Amino acid sequence: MADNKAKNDSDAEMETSMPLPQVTESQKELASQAMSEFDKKQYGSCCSLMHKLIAQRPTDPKVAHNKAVAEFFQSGFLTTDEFRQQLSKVCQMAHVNIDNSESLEDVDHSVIYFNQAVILYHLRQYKAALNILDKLFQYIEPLGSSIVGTYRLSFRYTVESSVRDRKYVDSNNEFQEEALAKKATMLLVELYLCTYQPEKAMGMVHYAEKTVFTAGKNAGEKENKEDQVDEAWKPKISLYKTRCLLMMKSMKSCKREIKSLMSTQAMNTAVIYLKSNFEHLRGNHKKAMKMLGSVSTSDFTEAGECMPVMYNNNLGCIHFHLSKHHLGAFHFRKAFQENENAIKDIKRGAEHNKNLSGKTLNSIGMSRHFELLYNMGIQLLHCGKAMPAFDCLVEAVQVFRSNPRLWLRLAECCIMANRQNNDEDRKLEKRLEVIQGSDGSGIHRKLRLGPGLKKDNPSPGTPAIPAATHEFAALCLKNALHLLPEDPLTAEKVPIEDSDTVKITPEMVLVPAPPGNPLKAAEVASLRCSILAASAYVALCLNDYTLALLHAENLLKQPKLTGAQRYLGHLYMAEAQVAMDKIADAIQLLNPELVVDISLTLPENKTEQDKSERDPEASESKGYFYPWSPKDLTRAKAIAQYNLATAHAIRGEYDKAGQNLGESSSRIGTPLPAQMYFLKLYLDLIEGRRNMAQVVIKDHFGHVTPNRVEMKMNSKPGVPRPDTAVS
Amino acid sequence: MALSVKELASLLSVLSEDTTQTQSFESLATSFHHYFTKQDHFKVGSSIVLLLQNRDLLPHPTQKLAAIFLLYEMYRTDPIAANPFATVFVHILNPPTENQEAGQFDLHWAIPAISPAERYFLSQLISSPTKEMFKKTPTQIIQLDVSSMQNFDVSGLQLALAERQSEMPAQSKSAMPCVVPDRDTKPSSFDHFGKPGVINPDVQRQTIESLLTGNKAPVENCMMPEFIRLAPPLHIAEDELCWMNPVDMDYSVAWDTTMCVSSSAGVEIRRLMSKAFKGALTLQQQQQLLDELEKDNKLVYHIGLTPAKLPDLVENNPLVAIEVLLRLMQSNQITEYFSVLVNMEMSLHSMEVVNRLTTAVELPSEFIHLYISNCISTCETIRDRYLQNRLVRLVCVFLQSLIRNKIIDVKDIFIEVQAFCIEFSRIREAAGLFRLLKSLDSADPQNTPTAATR
Repeated sequence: MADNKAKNDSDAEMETSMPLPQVTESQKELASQAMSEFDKKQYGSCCSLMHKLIAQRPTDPKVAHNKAVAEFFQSGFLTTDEFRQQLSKVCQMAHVNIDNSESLEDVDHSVIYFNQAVILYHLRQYKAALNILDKLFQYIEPLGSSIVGTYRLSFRYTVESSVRDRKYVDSNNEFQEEALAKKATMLLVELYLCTYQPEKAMGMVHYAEKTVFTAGKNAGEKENKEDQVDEAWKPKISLYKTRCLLMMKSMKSCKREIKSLMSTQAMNTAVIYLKSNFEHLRGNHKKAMKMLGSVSTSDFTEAGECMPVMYNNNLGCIHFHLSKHHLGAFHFRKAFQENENAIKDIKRGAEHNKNLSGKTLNSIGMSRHFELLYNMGIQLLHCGKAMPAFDCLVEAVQVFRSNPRLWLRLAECCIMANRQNNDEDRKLEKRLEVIQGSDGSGIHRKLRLGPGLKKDNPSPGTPAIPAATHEFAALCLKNALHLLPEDPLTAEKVPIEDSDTVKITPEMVLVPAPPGNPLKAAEVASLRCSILAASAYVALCLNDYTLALLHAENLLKQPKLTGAQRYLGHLYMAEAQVAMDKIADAIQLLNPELVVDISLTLPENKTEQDKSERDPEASESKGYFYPWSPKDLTRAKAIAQYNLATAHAIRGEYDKAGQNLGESSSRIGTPLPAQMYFLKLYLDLIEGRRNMAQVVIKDHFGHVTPNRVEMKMNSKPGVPRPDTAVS
Repeated sequence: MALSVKELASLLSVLSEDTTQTQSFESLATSFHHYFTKQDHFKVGSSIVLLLQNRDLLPHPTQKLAAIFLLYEMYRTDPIAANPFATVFVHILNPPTENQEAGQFDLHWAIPAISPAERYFLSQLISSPTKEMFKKTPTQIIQLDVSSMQNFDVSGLQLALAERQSEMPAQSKSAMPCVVPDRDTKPSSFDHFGKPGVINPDVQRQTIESLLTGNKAPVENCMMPEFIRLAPPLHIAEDELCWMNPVDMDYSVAWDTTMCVSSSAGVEIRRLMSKAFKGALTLQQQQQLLDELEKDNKLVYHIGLTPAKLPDLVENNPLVAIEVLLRLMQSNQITEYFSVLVNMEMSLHSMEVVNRLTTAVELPSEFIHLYISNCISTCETIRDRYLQNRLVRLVCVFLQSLIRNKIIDVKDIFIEVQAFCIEFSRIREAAGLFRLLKSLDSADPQNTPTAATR
């Protein structure tokens, strides 16, 4: 012991830059024993060995590190906090700044960094973990690929005594070093997937396939063993590939990959879920549902995931696409409950432990709370429940703020909260707003006409505080637009010669949309159209006509517009133009004959659907959207014509206004929207057809006036005018 | 915008039948200003306009005239065209041509016509008011006989207003008051029997109150044509929801297998390397280091070298740097090392390293070109004459070696190097290099004519 103490002192002295004391034979022996115990999963004995070793080598960071690892394993991964503390102590000993992956200079420290990345992965700090692993990979890569046969030399050179022992350490070590490279590669792929970068993940898988996992083939003497290892990794690689392909939505290659997976491990839950996901993406929802049902749902997977949550969530997704929104919401709610229960169970377990994070490492990041909120919010929006949807999504967006589509959905919630749907104008309560009531009686009786349906109540407080207002919607839409790559329309102007390359590049870019799969170019284009349409609408609601005009113009410039979007673009543009006193332009835009198509999907999609219509299952895929009115072309035309009448009325062309109003009212369908009564009364009153107005009022709003008009009767002879009566 | 009940009472007291009949305009104005300040004027004015539009609410002509006067009085200090209610005056002076049959044609938004005397008064008021006018009472004005008197010209005001209005969008001019008179044609209570069209002061007061006071009073509102604004349909996405797949992987922490097995050589090498960054190693140490590296190809990744540390190594131990770089050639970091090397300060050692590298392996040609231009520009910019001469010699020898060994193609750098030689022609080595270039040039017929003429 005295010896030890002396060594300690000298160690402390040397700690600054001097190397550690030489490893003695007995220490070496201890270390290899500890490792073999660890490999045998005898963590208890491993721990005690490590205690002995650390007493002898208290300043050796590697010993301290492995002691921490052994204890962490021994605790059943419950002591995450302690392990992190130990890890940071190890970092201090090794003079490593773990928070700065740039500081990684020495491949000797790679295990520390790897373990840090593992912890970060389980804490779901994917970006931080990725930073570390990206850097680590540069160092590990040469080790993994051709280490066999070279690294061995150094050991042969160094370990001079105990031939038997050396051999064990030697071969095992190579294997282990390589195992670390493999583990790191796997984790790297996983992290790329977690951060929705399927291309990078795929690149890494391909790379790993070529190098890390075929390493053994170069090494002659070990060929057999290495090939086996390779074989063992194959299904995992295949799983990764499938996940990448699903995320990239390249269905053809995915089909191949899944086929091979199914042929080898058809009973694997992960495989079945992937296959179900695949069928779901292809639109075979029934098949997907069947696949999901075929798995026996044990509560937790080995990786600590809660199967009932996933099962219900995925069922919800399927029902969403089947347009069974309420059933979908039911399943999401159930998934939500399961998730809450699972967390509660873990927390209850955690109370027995003194530790804050007394959950196992795997279950720390288990909760799918925010993903479920996201799904639930979108589902509720499609159920027409704008406010609950808003509450869900506003929470989800705090986690998934890089998702442009999510911002659009939030804006849609705000829009829907203020206008449930376009048939709202026809509702009785809206029509009752046309005449607010009456005041006085006798000669003094007055009718109070409603000011209109437009509500200009600016939201209290700042729009930055989330509330289902148009102001907040405008912010959301701004975010959404900013998150999209630059509009190719505006970007393309500069290079004219190589327009081919310009066209190709945006195809390659995937826009992240966490927690969903990244967006492909076509999806981005259609998303942009939807965002622009919503932006124009919201700007109109906020009386920002300049901006509305800008958005509408931009929308109409987009190359692929649905019929409905073009129609809306014209309507919005016209309204903004009228407000900006360009009525002549607006009147041209509002020509009802221009309305030829109000379909909600692109024509290409339609033909695809028609094609797949022969497939009995494919018919499920269409129409999972929320119903939108006007439903038919006649009504859409009538609405455009009504707006045309309004534009004429504003310009003072009352005859034309009246004529268009009459025509459109006969086609717009009953009950008439409230605005039509307004305009009718407006036109009658402004031109002094007081009796005509009275007829309309008595017919449609009889409760506000007792005065019936007989058209032939002229009121003038009977009743003296009040002013003449008095004077 | 609406009046408070108290304000309304004050306004009605100023506009009461008695007051307007007996008091002069001057005293009417005084009592009005007693009750209202400038800030109130617009909302009071709006209320007055609403009262004027309804015949039954200001039934007596003196009231009407007083009301019109107040609209003027409120903004008397401003030019008349700036009065927000100037349009009302124009409207009153040019009433919309009413159809004979009032039943068919009844403009609820129009202000009822006024008598010629009132017209006379109003037009004088807005064109050339005199002090005597304000001394009169509304009754006196109404009783005035104006048939012989000449009307005042208000066309200037009309023109100014028309101009101002033309600047406003049509939409802002399209509104209409939302209060519509709807006289009961039948008696609504027993009190009213036999008294059609008779003013009931209580009801009148009540009506005025409900029109002008309270939250969202009708006086605040107007009615204008409104578009049907369709909300856009919900965005349609093929694949939006988050599908969950179980992850069939167990990512757990790893055991450090290098514990206690790291070689003594490894430790020693590392120690040597950290020395090598700081100062020159002894020949023996250097040899030891190189031997160890020779033995283990992968050791080079474990010695703690990073691109940032390379310049130190090059300056202190160029031989080691060369050896290490040669071993790092396969690494994916080698380009980083190269870029550090190119951009580090030019020196004998860095040049030596590059020179040795060029002979040992095939370097990317961009790298060599970059290095050469870096050298040349360093020579050109250096101030110290002695040092400059030294560096130029070095560069010349370096270039000659590169050219002789056919590591670079002269054509690629011909012009740059030629200019360099001419600039430093005073130095013997530069002249030598120039001659070398010339000889190559003449040997190669394909050279540029400009170079040949020199």
